[in-house]
Amino acid sequence: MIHVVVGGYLAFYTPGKQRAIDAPATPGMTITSLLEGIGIPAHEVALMVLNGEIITDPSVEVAGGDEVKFYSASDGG
Amino acid sequence: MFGSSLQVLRVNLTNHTISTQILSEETYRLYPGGKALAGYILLNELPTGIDPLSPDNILVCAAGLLTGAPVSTSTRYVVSAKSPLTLGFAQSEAGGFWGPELKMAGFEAVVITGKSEKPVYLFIKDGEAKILSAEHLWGKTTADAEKLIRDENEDDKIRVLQTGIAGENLVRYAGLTNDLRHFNGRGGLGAVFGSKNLRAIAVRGNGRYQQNAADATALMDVGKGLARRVKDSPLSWDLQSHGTIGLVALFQPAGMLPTRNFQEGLFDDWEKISWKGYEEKIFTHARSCYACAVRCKREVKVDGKVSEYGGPEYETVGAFGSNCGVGDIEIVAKANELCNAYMLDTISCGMTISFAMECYERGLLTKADTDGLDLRFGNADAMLTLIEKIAKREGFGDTLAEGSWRVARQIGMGAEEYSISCKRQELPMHEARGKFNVGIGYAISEIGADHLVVPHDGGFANSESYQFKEAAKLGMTNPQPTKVLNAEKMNHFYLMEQWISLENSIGFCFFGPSPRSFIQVEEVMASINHATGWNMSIEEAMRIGERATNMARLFNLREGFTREDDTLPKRIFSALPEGPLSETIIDYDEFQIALSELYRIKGWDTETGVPTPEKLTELGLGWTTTSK
Repeated sequence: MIHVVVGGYLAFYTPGKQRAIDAPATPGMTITSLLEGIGIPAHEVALMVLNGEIITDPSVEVAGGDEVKFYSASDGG
Repeated sequence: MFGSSLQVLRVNLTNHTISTQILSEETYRLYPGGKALAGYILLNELPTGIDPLSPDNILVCAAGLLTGAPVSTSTRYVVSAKSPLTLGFAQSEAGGFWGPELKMAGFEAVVITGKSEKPVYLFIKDGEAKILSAEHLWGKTTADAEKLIRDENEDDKIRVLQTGIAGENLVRYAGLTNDLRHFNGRGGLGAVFGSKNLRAIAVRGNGRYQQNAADATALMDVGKGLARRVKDSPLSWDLQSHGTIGLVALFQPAGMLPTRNFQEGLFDDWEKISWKGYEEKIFTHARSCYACAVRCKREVKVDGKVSEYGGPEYETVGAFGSNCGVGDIEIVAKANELCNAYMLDTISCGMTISFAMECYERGLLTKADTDGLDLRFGNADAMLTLIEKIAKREGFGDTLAEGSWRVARQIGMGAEEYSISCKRQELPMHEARGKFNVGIGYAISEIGADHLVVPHDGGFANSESYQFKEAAKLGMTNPQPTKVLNAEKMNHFYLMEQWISLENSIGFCFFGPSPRSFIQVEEVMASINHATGWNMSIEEAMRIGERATNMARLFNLREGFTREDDTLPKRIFSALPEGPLSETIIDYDEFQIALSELYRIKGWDTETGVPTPEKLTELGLGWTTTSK
């Protein structure tokens, strides 16, 4: 399983609008396919963190045991 | 006309006279409330160079065209004057209930001139107004004063806009509150109230916005549709679910959480002051402004009971939390309560205390200066003690009541670098090193650094995002990364500044219209036109926003502001020491090039930032060249 944490309004797209979920890992899974599987639109993601490191390439592969964090844009307030 | 009474209440506190001015519809269409109407009045009537705490200052409290309309988030009003903090144009917006109530009472704005010999408050009810003694309110907390006003007028639905003890004591960042939990915090407008011996403006009205709408049914249909849709948009859903406090958890991973006076962008105890900590420790329930389905306001417990003053917003959590090194949400809530009881702007107060903490840790201040307080970052007791002292101007608090910019110049020895302010007003809790157009906005804003008059870059980086698609309706064409300054980015700024300025003129909240939130551009325009019967285009609406910004610019130029004032604190031009932004800087030279480009796009002289005669004529502001 991949542990996924979401911040900001991205929780709107997760099942049950949860801020943390475990998603099943599949062979060759990338950040892009992980987002698609959960239902988070990639164009709403402003910041991605894989195992504590900020990444910018959504074609990076992920595997079971990884922790991925996605954040929306931060706006005024 | 439809949508507006066109009535402005005029109150002279020196001779206690009251009159009503009727605007023409032609004038109102150019300056339809809020920032636009306040700018129009001040630019026409306020002499240049006055002391903002003298009787010469003019206070304008202006609702917007749509304030009180049955459309979510159209609750805002503006208070404006010459600022005792910045010495320039002051404009601070608030939601709540006071603005709608003013419209229901039959007025678009209240203009206060002169100074009363003794403390007074103004009571407006259904088209009538009277000046009443406030001697018994002077020195009272805002909660006690509000209760006294409601009790003595035998009406608990009276809406009270007031300053507090901090305003009475002329603290330069004293603010205003209505219903004890909605704030015109910025610019020191509470001190202007205090300088006029004016404690409050109480309002009661029995009208309803719909009674004077051109097409009330269509307007209400827009409102009903929005109420149904509020949970269907990620942006408004997030505001409803977490309020503004959700920002803490977004800023920490991006290295953008203002920490220890903007020295850092990461805070070890961030989770304790995030929504998680807030919900666990202090949250009781959500609350809304007038007729608003977003319900972003938060109510909290302080000292074991539900606070009379509402819960801290993100700005307050940042200012007294990470920014002062305090990782305790209950302490932050207590700081919020104290500020609201005395009526201090939580941003400037927190930032002035964090400035003093940095000076103390660097040895520029000692216990001999701080009344014996060990003013290190994280000392929550000292922070709470200072809030009391500032409001009452006691001891070291009297010094800090002047704001960080002035105190820095008293201290000298390099302390000037630790006042994190623009145009003498302290930065809010948004790290410009992570969103460069916010930095441009802090620098160029006519009211000094503020987070609600500038576009925030993040939503405009991807052409497929909801926010970009909405901004495209306003003319935005090319998405841009957050951490760049280029000509396209300046075009983003220009467009969004006009739109936000429009919102601040017609009475919409920052959390209502897109791109920030869920009310689409077409719905904003429909609301204007259903209310008035006009056939206003987006282009005309954008000109209202641009006109209002240009008037504020002209106000400041008249007061002696120059391009040199359109800058950022030195610290913001350097990198953060660690975290995701440790290799990112706003390059000073690139910043200057971008500023010149923005001036050009705005139709201002590219060197001086002065609006050209052609631009003023285009905006219908030719008259400003002959005003006072």
